[in-house]
Order: sequence, then C-alpha cells, then structure tokens
Amino acid sequence: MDARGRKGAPELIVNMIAWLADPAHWRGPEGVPAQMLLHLYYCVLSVGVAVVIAVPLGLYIGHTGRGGVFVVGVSNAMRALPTLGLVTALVMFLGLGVVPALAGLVILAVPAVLSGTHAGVRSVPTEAVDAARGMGMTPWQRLWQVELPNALPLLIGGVRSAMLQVVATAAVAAYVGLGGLGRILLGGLAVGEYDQMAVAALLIALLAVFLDGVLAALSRWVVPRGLVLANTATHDGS
Amino acid sequence: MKRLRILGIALVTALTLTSCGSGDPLDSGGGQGGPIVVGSADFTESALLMEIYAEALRTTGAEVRTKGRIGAREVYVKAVREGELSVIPDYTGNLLKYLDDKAGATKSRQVHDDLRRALPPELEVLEYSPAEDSDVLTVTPETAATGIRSMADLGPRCGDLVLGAPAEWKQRWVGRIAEVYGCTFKSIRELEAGSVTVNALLNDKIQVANLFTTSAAIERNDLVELADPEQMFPAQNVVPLTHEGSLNQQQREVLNEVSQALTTKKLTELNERMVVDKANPADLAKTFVDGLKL
Amino acid sequence: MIEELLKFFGSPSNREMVLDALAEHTYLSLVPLLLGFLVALPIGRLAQRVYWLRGMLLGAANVFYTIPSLALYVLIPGLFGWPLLSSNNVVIALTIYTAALLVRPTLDALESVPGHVTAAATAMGYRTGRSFLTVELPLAVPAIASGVRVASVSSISLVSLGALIGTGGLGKLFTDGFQRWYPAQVLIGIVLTVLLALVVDLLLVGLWRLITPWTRAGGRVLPS
Repeated sequence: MDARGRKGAPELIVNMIAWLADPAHWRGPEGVPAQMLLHLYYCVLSVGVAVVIAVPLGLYIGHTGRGGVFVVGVSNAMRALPTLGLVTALVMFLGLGVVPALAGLVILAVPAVLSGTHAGVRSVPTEAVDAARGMGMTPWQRLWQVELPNALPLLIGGVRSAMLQVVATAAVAAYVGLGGLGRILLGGLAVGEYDQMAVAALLIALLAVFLDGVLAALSRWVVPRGLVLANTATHDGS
Repeated sequence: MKRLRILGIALVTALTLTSCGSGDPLDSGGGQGGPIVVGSADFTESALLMEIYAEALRTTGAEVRTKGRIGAREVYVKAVREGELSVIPDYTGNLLKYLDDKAGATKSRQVHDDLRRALPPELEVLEYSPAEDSDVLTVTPETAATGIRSMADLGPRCGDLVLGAPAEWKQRWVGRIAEVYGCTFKSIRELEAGSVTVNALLNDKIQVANLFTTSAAIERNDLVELADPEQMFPAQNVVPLTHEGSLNQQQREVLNEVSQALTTKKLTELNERMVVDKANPADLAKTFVDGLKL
Repeated sequence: MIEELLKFFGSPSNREMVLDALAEHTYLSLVPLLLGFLVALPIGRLAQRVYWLRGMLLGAANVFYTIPSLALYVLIPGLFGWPLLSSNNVVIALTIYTAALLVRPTLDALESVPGHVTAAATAMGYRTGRSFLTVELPLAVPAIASGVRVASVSSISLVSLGALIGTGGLGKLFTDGFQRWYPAQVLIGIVLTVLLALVVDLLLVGLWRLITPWTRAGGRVLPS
C-alpha cells in the first residue's frame, strides 16, 4: 500500500492492467463502460450546444464584419476562465445538478468554436466572395454556398479544440457531483488508489484521442473536395 | 541578437526569483534538522487543525511551514512516514481502521491504545484530544418524522434512499452497514464533505447525508443525527500523527496542551466561524492559540 | 459584494494566502511556458528542415496535445516514480502541453520566413546555425508570438486543476471555497486568474515589441 505511486513505469502498467482485468470494475452504473458513455454524452451534448450558439454568431460577425473585434476579444478573454472555479461558482449560484456543470462546459467550448468560425469566414478569399456577388448571389446564398463551405476547415478545427478541452474538463465536473470518468479518477484520489486514478486518466486521454480522430474524419468528409485540392496546391507551392 | 540575449537573461532571472519565492517544502526535503512541516487532509476542519498546530509550534521558536489539503489518508500517512511531513492532525478511529482493517475498538481510550500498537515504528500519535468528530448519518426533520431516528430504523428503508457521502465512504462503510444494520442504499452519491453535502440534503438530491458531528450545519438546519446503537462508527478523537523524532519534548508538550484545550464544543464553534462566517482558519488558529497562553 | 470583498481582504491571513497562491500560480504557469517554448523550438526547426520527419513530429505533438492535463498530473508521478504531491508534476504536464501546442506555430513561423532572406544570409557566408539564430528566428518571432500568447492563457487557466491533487495555485481558493460554500472566495480566485492571464499577455506583447523593433518601423501591427 505505502509504495503506491512510487514504483515507476513497469510496476504502474502491471497494476493498471490488473485493475482493468477485475470484472467488478466493468459492471453496473459505476463500471467503466457506463461512466465512459456518460462522459461521452456530456462532451457531445455540451459541444453540440456550444456549436448551436457559436457557429451562427461567428458566421454573422464574420459575414457582416460587424462587432468582430469585440466578440472575439471577449471570447478570448473567456479562455482564461479557470474551469474549476467556473464550475464551482456555477453550482453555488444555480444549485447542485447536471445543468450548472454542463453550463460550465458549454462556456468553455464557446470561445474555440466562435473564433474558429469567425477566422474561417474571414479566411474566405475576397475574390471568391466578389465572384459570388458578381454571379448575382443573394447574401444568404453567398453565406451558404461560398462562405460556410470555405470556412469549414477552420470551423471544424475550432470544434476539435473545443472538444479536447471539454473532454478534459468533464472530468473536473465530477468534482461537483457529475458522473463520468472523472468520478473514477476522484474516487481513486479519495482513497489513495493510485492505479485507479491512473486508469481513469488513461481512459480520459484515450477518449480525447478517439473523439479528435472522429472529428478529423468528419472534417475530411464534409470539407468540399475542391477546397482540399486548392489548399494542398498552395501548400506545395509555398 | 543582443536584445535576445538580454531577454533571455531577464527571463531566467525572473523565473529563478519566483521559484525561490514559492519553493515546495516537500521537494526541499522537510526531514530532520529542517523546518517543521505541518500538513492537513483535504477538508476544512483538518486545515483549521493544521493552522492551530502550526501556530502552537511557533510559540516554541521553531520554524514552521504548512502544507495543506494534501488529500487522502493513504497519501498523507505515507508522507508523514517518510518524513516529508512532520505532523498532521488525524482522527483516532479512522486512522486505526486504516492501519488495521479488523480493528473492533469503539471507545476513545481503547481506540487510542490499539492505535499506538498498530502504528509502524516511524509513526507516533501524541495524546488524543477530548474533541471528537465522528461520522454521523443525518436526515432532514421531515424524513425523521417518517420514523427514522436511528441507523436501526434506517436499515429496512435504505433501499428507497440515496446517501450522499465522501468518495472514501464506499470503500470504508458499505460492507459494514449492510452487515450491522442490513442497510443497502438505493444509490450513493459521492460528494465533497461539508457544505455541498448539506446543500444536496436540503434540496432532496439525497435523503441521507454522511456529515461529521462537529459540523455547524447540523444544528443550524435542524438536521437529525441518527443514533448508532451498534457503534458502527468508532470514536474519532482528534490526535496529532507525527513522524518519530521530528518534534522535541517541548514541542510535543505544546501539542498535548493544545489537544487538552480543544473540546468538541470548541471545535464545533470554530467550524461554525469558518463555514458560516467565512473566517480564515489561520486567523482563528491565532486567536485560539493566543488564548491558551502557552 | 463590496462588503464581502472588504471582509475577505480585511483578514491578514487571507491576504497572505492569496499572495502565496498567486505566486505559486505564476510560477506553475510561467516556468512551463518558458520550458515548453524551449522544447518546441528545436522540434519546430527539425520539422522544418527534415521533411520526412515533419508528419511524424506534428502527429506526435497532436497526440500529446489531446491528453488532458489533469490526466497528465496523475500519470506523471506514477511513470517517474515520485510523489503525487510534488509540484513538478504540474510543471512537467504543462510543459508537455505548451510544447505540443507550440510546435505547429513554430514550424509555420519558420516556414513563413521568405526564401530570399535565408538565401541572402547564405550568400553572406552565414552558416546554418548562425542564420537560424540571427536571421530566421528573429523574423519568425511575430508569428511564434501569437502561439505563445495562446499557450500562456491556456496554461494559466489549467494550473488551477492541480488543486484537485494538492498543488494548484489559485485553484486552492476554488476547492476551499466550494467546501465552505463561499462564492466570494471563488469569484476572487476567478478574477485573479483572469487578471494574471491579462497581465502576462500584456507583458508578452510588450516583450515582442521590444525585441522586434522593425515590425513597428514598417507600420505592421503585431499578430493578434
């Protein structure tokens, strides 16, 4: 017991495998699969809400060019907000429950998605927008058919970085009574079960890598092919 | 290039200065000869007791540092054992149970004696204080009115009730309470000890809360403490756990005097000042120790 | 609110605690920023010079970037076999995070140095090392700077998570405030963290202006 956390990598890996091999850790509402799904659910839900808020806002300020400096400035300042403080404060003001914890995650995800969307729209070449205008497209058509598709790579980049932050932070939300993998981590901390903490940490990291991979694949799937070709061309050219 | 070099030197200087300012006592090896390092577990009362011990030890002229909110007993006992910490406040019953899973003693003196025997050679406990702070299950007056007054009443009803308790509760008591009172809760919600648990109880997120007898919140919210007729929770007297040889005779006597002066009533009052009036534990410790005239 | 503030800062122990926490927070966030930068620089340079390594290095940086910092705080002491309480865990975890974050911007910045400039340096007889240190790196500073600014904000906000394992600078105000249901103390912690990020950001901007005087002469504004 007293040597825990002091033995170095080989010992740690053996202990982690032993923890994972115990069937008791895989059963019921507190088992690994249930907590993993819950963690996944919190992450997808809060990033989803953040996308619904931030993408239209980012498109609007990017499209009109109005208020961009202010909104992006505020959202960058929001990045400095310490998650743990934010979540504990929200719980104290709104009461214990899933909503304040998820609200904290949404607040965390918004800046990355917003600045990704905004940067994406701003990165659309002026010639392309001018050409669209010349072709007689309405502002809506320009937004949907030119600006949004062109903005997608940076927009999804924003969603990816938001997702990474949220996966990590959802573990913190366990501190204020939320479930998920953070529960396993903090539970291990409370009883000094280092192996359990390490397993939880590893699972969180794996979930982060997995979700990032899914979003990367999504990005390849939705980004128009012409755009990918154009980008590769300019990259090779420079 | 010159500017870059100047920048480099400036940065390194700045960082060296900051790092000196906030050096980590554990990295610099607290051990013998160095300053006394007092630690605390990760909850409010432990932080308060840490400040009280530190303040009392300072009266002996010793150089004292604090390292608060370390976390679980497993972590800090190890730190005391290895001399990273010189002393930390603990509770006799839980410490005994940690060292010896099968320990059956429930009365203060007996628990303390068994504890002395169970400790490994590097560790030592000083005299225990009359102040007790044991686990207690509490319910709201409404729940109590439905006929739950003691843990024996609770037993058959557990299946409908959610318990809120610190994360270590599961490992420590789930088996025992099933065995002693035939109680298996509907579910257990892991919550930070203290205000959060009380809040969850008052909002019916949980129906039974594991609190501590010195918690000011029990009286303030008219919560009902459930009796423990089978004495499942052992006596929990406050006791300083030290690394063998890290304190001299005078310092040990000072801590014994502090333990003598500390009563359950006093500890409850100090807790109330911290949690309700939001007083800083170090300020409270100063006032308390000054009042002892050590 | 003002009343709460006066009460909080009226206690000398509170003032001392906040100052200690702030000093620890500054240390725990700025040391990794510097170390991470020093690690990312050679990696970025390597990725720029050795084309076949580029994909691998960027991929590795990406993987490290995805590992949550809280997870690293916990895994590092186990891997190295040292105490969970050591503040080194936070320093190393954030150094890895910062380095992973900075590899890409460093590479992009070095790539953005115009080819004719490096060609001129070579023509003047500069060796690779000297050309890198005295020509390419200074020209890349403005673009690296924006990456460093993002990294500094992130690591300042991430330090507080360490409070969950005993070393968290201002994060201590959150865990203690939560246990005592003391919103004012938590808000003070949040405001100080954001202020620290702001001050460090302003200092960084000032620093870049100081070391890249030519960007002002040309009327170019710093990248935001």
